[in-house]
Amino acid sequence: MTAPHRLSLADAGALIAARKLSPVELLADCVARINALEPRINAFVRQTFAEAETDARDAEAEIIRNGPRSPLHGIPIGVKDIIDLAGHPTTCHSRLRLDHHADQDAAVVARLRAAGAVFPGKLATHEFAIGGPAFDLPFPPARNPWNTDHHPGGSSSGSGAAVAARMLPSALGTDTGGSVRHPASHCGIVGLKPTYGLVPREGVFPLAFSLDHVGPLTRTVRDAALMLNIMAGGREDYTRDLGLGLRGLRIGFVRHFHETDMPADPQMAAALEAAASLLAAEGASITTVHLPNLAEFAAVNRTILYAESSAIHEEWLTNRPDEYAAVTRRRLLPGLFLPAVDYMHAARRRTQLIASVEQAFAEVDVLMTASSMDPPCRIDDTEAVERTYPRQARSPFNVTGHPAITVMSGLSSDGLPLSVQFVTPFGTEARLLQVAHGFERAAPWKDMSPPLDD
Amino acid sequence: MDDAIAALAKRAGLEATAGRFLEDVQEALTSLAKHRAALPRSNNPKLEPTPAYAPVAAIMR
Repeated sequence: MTAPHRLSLADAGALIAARKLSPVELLADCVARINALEPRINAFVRQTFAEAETDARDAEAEIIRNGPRSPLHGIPIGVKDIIDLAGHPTTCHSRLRLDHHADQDAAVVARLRAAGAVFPGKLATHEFAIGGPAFDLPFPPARNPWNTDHHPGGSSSGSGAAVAARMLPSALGTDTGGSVRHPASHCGIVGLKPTYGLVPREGVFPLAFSLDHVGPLTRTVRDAALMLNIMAGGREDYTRDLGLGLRGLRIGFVRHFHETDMPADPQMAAALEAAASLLAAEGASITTVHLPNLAEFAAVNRTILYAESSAIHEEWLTNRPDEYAAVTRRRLLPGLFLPAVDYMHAARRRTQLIASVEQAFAEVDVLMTASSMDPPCRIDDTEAVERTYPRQARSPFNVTGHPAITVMSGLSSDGLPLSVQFVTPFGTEARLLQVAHGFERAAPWKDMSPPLDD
Repeated sequence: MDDAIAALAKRAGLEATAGRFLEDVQEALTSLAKHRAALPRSNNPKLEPTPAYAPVAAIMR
């Protein structure tokens, strides 16, 4: 039998429902995996194993008595440490929040808890979800399981690393300029940013309220759908179209993002073309689609992010600036120098950018773009790490609010993950997951995992 | 600290922060200038932001 920590969320949930796997056994195996790898990965800022074990025992007893509440009953899920978990601090990976105490769960955690999930810990992030990997913080930065000398992406870096390292089947992340999809891209897993507003943000420390999204990181697309079923409050069954395949779907490939707006690493560009060929072989039609230049999306995203985040951090930047990591301070300070009129210009252009993406969907069902322009860089290469944040095509869909998903599209010659992104119209997560699942199923790398111990 | 940066820091209420972390403030201003230059500008009132949320509001009803 596959070791429990290696099971997908769906497979573990099915075995639990069939009473062939105990939630206690699953948690214990994940904890053993975490204990073995954590010194190399640094995915956790706080471990809550004892509490999770109590909840897993309760889940086991309830499942024996009444059957499972949901496919997530007894499943361990990690929580990015800007999301409240009742009874624990939400440090935001910052010394400014070490004395915080969350009295109640964030709304999304409460939904997962009500569905029977258990929570073994809080996961590393970039400080306040905006810094970068920093070595002057209370906790070390998470590392990439595919090569621990490399950056796992961020800011949901612990979430990406823990799921890719098979420590946990799923984790929560947040995404303001790509922070679920960046670690998913760099760690070779699935990162879903739902439609703006679909998953509640109550109890999540804000970065920029009009750009912030909460999303799951998982190892399979089906697992992302199962997570979203609960996170979105049971609005619909997002697994319903997974088996429909790709035949007849019209996919618009936004090639200019990575070909001319921001030329991608040749390996990434080749992987994107290979992905398009694979989709075509599965019966989808591929056409080239044009959107506004990536630089415009980036400028709008950055201006809004500067303005909204500085309103959160103004007091600390004024009175306690020394308590931030240097990289966080430098990223937050511009907002306090930003003229208010710029925020309005960004808001107005945002309206046009949303319309341009909506217009594209008149001709195609799905957009396909690059996610990251480059494979993961070394984590100790400060300049390369700094470059990784703007060299991406994720932030356009924080600006527009459309649902977007990133999945693996192969490995670089150095054995590091490559990725592709799909985007669909507002509220069509079922179609988004259908496309990503069809791609995942056809792809030859779906069973690859980081070479940590195998 | 040159006068221009000192004036900007004062207007932003960041005199003390700029005094302690001048390099960070300089870098912040450089980043901001780059992004301001790339930001499209418009005075078209038809582009007021409220409609941007209409599609989301529609599906959340």
